[in-house]
Amino acid sequence: MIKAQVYEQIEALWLFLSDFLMFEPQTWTRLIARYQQDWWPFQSIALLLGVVLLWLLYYRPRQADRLINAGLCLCWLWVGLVFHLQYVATISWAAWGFAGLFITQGVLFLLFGVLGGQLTYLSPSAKTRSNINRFAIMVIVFSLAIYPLITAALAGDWMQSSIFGLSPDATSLATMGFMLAAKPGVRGLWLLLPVLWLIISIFMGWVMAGSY
Amino acid sequence: MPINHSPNRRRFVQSAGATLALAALPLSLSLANTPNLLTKIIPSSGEKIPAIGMGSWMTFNVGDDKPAIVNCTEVLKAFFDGGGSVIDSSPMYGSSEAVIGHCLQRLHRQQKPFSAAFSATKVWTPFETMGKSQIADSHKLWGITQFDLFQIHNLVAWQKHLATLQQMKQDKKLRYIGITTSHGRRHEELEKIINTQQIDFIQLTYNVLDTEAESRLLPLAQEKGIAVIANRPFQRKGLFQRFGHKPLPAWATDIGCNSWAQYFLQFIVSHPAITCAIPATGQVAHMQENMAVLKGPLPDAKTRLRMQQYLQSL
Repeated sequence: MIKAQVYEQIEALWLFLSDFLMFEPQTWTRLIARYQQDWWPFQSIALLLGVVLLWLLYYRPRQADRLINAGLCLCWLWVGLVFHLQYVATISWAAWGFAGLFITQGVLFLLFGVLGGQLTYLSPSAKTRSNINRFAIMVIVFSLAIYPLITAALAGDWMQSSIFGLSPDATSLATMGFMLAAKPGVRGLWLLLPVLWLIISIFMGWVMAGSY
Repeated sequence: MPINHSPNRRRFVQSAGATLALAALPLSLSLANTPNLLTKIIPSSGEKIPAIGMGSWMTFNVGDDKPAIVNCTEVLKAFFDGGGSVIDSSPMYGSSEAVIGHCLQRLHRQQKPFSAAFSATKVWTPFETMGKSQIADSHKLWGITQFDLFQIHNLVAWQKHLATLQQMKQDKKLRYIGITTSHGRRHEELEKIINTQQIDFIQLTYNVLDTEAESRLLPLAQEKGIAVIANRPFQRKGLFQRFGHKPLPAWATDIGCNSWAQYFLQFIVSHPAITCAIPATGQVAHMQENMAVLKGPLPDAKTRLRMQQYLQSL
């Protein structure tokens, strides 16, 4: 009885959310494929950037913090300005809001991370490392290397890979990893928008999967 | 007017302006003389329109995806080939209006028989001035100078927009005025509007499971002489997800019903107050299936009840 009620509530939630989806799942799939095709071979460059950011985090050369923040700033601005505004906005009004979210995070990285130098990181290789730092590295590696494979495998198409720096999900996931490696204090605030996007993305994925 | 690189509505509007010469072509010829076609009468004018129209929510929102736009053109062609006329859209539907306009002009060039299009769109904004600009944009996007029907989307700022639309109708820039709701929401407010305002159409959610409108709104529309467009005829895909894998009743063929889509549509358009149902699809085969309803018989009141009972038994 309770199980049936839970299913009913889940179905009601799905139906409610599906009304906000204003395009067919196939339209979304085609749009992602077109985006990947249009920007090939930027995927390799973005992935390389991710590896460089990870290296900076681990080995801590001079200005590593600012460079990491600059890299993340670039990725968030790219996803907002190019992915959401140039592509998603052609089929969804919500893209303007999503773009605002990504541009905001990018500008915050620029203002407080690059120019202000207020966002600094703990090296996972340092003596001060903790479990959370190790976990941060795992999240970053997962978002750079494993997540693109998982998304491609689930879709059965390489063109659907979610790649750091180009795709919102992988960028948000990697950013979460970097923020977990940030010095405690304000890290919760920096996690806010990436987590918010991932929640939105999970619901979008769920609704689209159910629409097929 | 090809959609080559128009990622947003504004850019599309600009490019559409160049093709307004096509607007002089007649879009509103009645299909009343087409034989053996299920038509319904618009009470305020006596004009007949086919009982199956076409919605464009989601299905025509394909952005600037060229192969998808070509597919939409094929779907629209199948719609006209099947005797369809009423095309419904809204500025809320992303790129749908732009894509419809593109498809219509493409079919014009191919000289396909689409001169019977009954153009219906909506105004959807809380601001009066923005509404006027949105109305102008819709004309450019569709590539026409006169809409057959302009509706106020989901009752948004309806007092403001109604005045604009009434003026347009008076100036012969518009033939009919309507107001829409969906999901069975705000029926009480719609009822008040029907009772107090001069409108030609209402649009609401009505299907074999969502029958709330039967109790008050549909009889009221009949009484006041207002045409009714039924949206969400399949509960988007909900009815297919719920019943699609189950068998049709054996007696379905007796009423010319060969698929669940036809079953659901026949139920809707057989209600005497319903003027038109507007299913949306992105597939030619589904469009052909939908349009076949225009050529078949309609269930009577007894059969309608049987149709509902059968679904309850599943």
